[in-house]
Amino acid sequence: MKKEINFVLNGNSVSIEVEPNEKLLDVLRDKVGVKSPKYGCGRGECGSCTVLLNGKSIRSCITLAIEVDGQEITTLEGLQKDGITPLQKSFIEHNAFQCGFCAPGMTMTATELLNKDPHPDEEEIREAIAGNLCRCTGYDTIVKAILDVAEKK
Amino acid sequence: MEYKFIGKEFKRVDALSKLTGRARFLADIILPHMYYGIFLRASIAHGEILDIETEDAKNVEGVKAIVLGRDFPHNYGHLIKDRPIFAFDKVRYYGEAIGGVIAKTEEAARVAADKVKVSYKPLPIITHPKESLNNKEVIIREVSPTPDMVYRPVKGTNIFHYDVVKRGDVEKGFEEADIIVESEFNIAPINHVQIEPHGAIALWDEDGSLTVWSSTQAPFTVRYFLSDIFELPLNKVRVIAYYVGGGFGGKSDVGIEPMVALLAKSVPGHPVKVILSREEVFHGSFLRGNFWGRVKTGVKKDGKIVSEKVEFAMGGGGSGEFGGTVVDGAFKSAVGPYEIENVHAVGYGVYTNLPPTGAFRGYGHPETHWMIERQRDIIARKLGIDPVVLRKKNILKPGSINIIGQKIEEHNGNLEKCLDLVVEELDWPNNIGHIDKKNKKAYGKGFALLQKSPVMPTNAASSAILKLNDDGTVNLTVGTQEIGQGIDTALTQIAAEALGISPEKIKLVPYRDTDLYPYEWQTVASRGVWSVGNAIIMAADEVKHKMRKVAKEIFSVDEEDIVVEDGLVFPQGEKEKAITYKDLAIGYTLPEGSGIGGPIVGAGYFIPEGLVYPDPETGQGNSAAEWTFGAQGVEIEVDLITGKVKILKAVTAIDAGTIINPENARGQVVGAMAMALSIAQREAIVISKEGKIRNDSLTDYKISTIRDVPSEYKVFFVETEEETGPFGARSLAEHGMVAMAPALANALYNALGVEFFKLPITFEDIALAIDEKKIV
Repeated sequence: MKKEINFVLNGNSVSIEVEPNEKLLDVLRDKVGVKSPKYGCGRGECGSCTVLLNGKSIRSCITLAIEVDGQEITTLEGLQKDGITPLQKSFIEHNAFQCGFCAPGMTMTATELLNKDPHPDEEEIREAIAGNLCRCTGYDTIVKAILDVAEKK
Repeated sequence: MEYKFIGKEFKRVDALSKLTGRARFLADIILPHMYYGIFLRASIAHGEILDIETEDAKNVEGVKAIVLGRDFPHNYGHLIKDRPIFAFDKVRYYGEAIGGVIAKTEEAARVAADKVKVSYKPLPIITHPKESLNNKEVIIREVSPTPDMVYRPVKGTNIFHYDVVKRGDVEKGFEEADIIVESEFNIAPINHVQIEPHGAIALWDEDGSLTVWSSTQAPFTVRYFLSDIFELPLNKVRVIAYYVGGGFGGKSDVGIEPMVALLAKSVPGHPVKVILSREEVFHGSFLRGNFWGRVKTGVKKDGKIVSEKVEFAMGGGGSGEFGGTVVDGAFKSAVGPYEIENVHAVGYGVYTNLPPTGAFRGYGHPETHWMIERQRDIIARKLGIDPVVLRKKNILKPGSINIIGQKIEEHNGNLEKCLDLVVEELDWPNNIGHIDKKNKKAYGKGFALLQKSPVMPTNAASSAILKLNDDGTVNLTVGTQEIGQGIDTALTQIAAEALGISPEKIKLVPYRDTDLYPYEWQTVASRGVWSVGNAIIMAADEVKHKMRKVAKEIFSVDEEDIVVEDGLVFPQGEKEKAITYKDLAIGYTLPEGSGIGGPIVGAGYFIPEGLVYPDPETGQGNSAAEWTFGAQGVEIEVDLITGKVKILKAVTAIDAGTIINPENARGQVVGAMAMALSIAQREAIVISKEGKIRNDSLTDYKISTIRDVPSEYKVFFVETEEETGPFGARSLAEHGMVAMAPALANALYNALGVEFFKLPITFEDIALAIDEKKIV
């Protein structure tokens, strides 16, 4: 019972056949070959699979692929089409990662925040990324990295 | 000492690939002709396997093979041989793998796995280590000691290993003491919760060789076990590892690789891939086992500790192979960083009906320090003296003898300085705790000390290879793994310092491959910088030596008159004649056209010399390499209505010798503090009375989010140069974990006047204690 879906991925149109129970994360990673969203929990708890759906962050591990038919998906690969973004630069500058597994999801969530509000304060940053788990850093450099971009904007 | 590249700012070499999503992790790998595997898991916590019915499963479309434990009934292990690849006689914990299904898709494998029916004869279960220690009726695993066995199982019990420390005469010590303090402690089992789940891919070639891709901290140990289990020479086993998405010890012990390799053996020519679901990570990887212990301390009125007796048991789960060495680690720190004349400590590893215990950041030290650093504060209170004063009277300093009989030297570090820095940051002893009844809040400060040395075999070795390229750049290969700790960056700086060229010119080749990279024991024990760093210095010396040998021909001088410095090679006093590394990298061409020398490669190794096995009866002996000392503290605010604790400040002062990369070093300490506080405040594996893990998801097993971590972190480095370390460096990656929990509990006492003896200390526990004590 496969169904063809069409969506825009990082500015390019994608047409692909999926099963109705296939998750967006699996389709992106295993069928389309976009590897930056990661599987961490499969329940929308860790945030590693975060992508943007029409500019809003979603958990691709609990989103069915058929739901994105006719819509627009952005992953980290799409954000850096013209070179790395100020946010990515700031993550490097502030050492805001260690193992790197949560970094793509963290970056997508922070990108959504900064698109919505270019000047969030620390409290708003903490609120925004409270759903993205990081087991390595203790989060303080992540806050600093996002805050730095917010202050420079 | 002044260094050019050590201790200087240098951005992580893995930054760009990790922040662009291009960094490769195991799950990203898709190979041609690949199949997928799903493990069959036990639905009871303890019982004999009677029958396994697989007919229906085999008929599912896409299924290629079903492999069961009984097809390969083998227990592996290096120290005790008690770990089955798949359970074959009985299951010893809920979720233990009893086999696996291989299919063309993961979905087909999953559908088929659900159709496998297993019948069991259930047996009684034991999950608590104290209960297991004293139980002789329910024997989870029968192991008889053999002469070649490294562990010391006790026949007719669940004890699979134990360690003893004996110094002086504790009973005599207790008689001399003015007061005796006795306490009992518990810690719940926990999971590492690396954000990347465990996984492996295995491929058997037609020629009988085996390749395994794994997210592992220990590619060479994986190779060793695979070679041992499948009786292959080491050069027929190849282990490839990409970046590890969080390790914390949980990917250093060998569990999933033999399982996937056994599955793949039934479909040669096809790689088989298994990535654990988050639920399976809880049931089917390794845990930090639950812990029980008691401490009896004899103290003089002035605070001098004269005698201490420690007994503890660590739950080892259904197999002890990877848990017994945690006991070996813990016993060396059984009384913490103190000099005590009379000590008797016994630590046991005991089987339980839980997933096996393995390495976890801190390796037994957070557990023993939980007891000891609580005990120190309790003693100080009983004597009415300041806990800083009590500690200073007893801590290890140069000249002290620790409990395994080692004499502490100046270069081992300055614990007292660490303590001073932390208490100064906490403004101790001012306002150490009070209750604000009006605002329904309580405030407290607490601190604790720590020590740790790398827990490893006496011969844990490292190696490194430096290869000069013809443009003067350098490729560095090592076998130690980048697991997020920043080792690739630190080692690049060490190579730069040793070669005298800038770190930008050095490429530490990312990812690991046992066929191509030099040997490394394991990436554990915080020993990477120390051990591999030393190997790199030796490799750099070889590079320089080879360049000198060529340069002496060029300049017609003696070898010892050639200077190799800052990327230049020249005869002593004639710097204007200097040639560069580039000129010598692949051989030098003399003016008349003939070549001399050749491509320059330097290899180096390191092994910790002089370590010996501890005496089995007394635990005495030089069994621990370099010690790192430190102190940690917190300032907290407690909500008296909800019990919620806010960490206002978390502090660590640590003497890790020379700091190679200050920003990354701080990152390690801060990350460890956050992890330790998450564990201390909210992490516990909850076990049902049937022995099932009830909170096997991140919804129910909570780790700290950004909302829960300290508002402020402070890190101080005391840099007493380590004699045995590269440029004076020593271990630091685990240490931020070791003393946070007791520091928190000590602060809670100062805030509320309540003594906590078990971990975690949840908000609920605190609210109940506030209620019971009628604080509000």
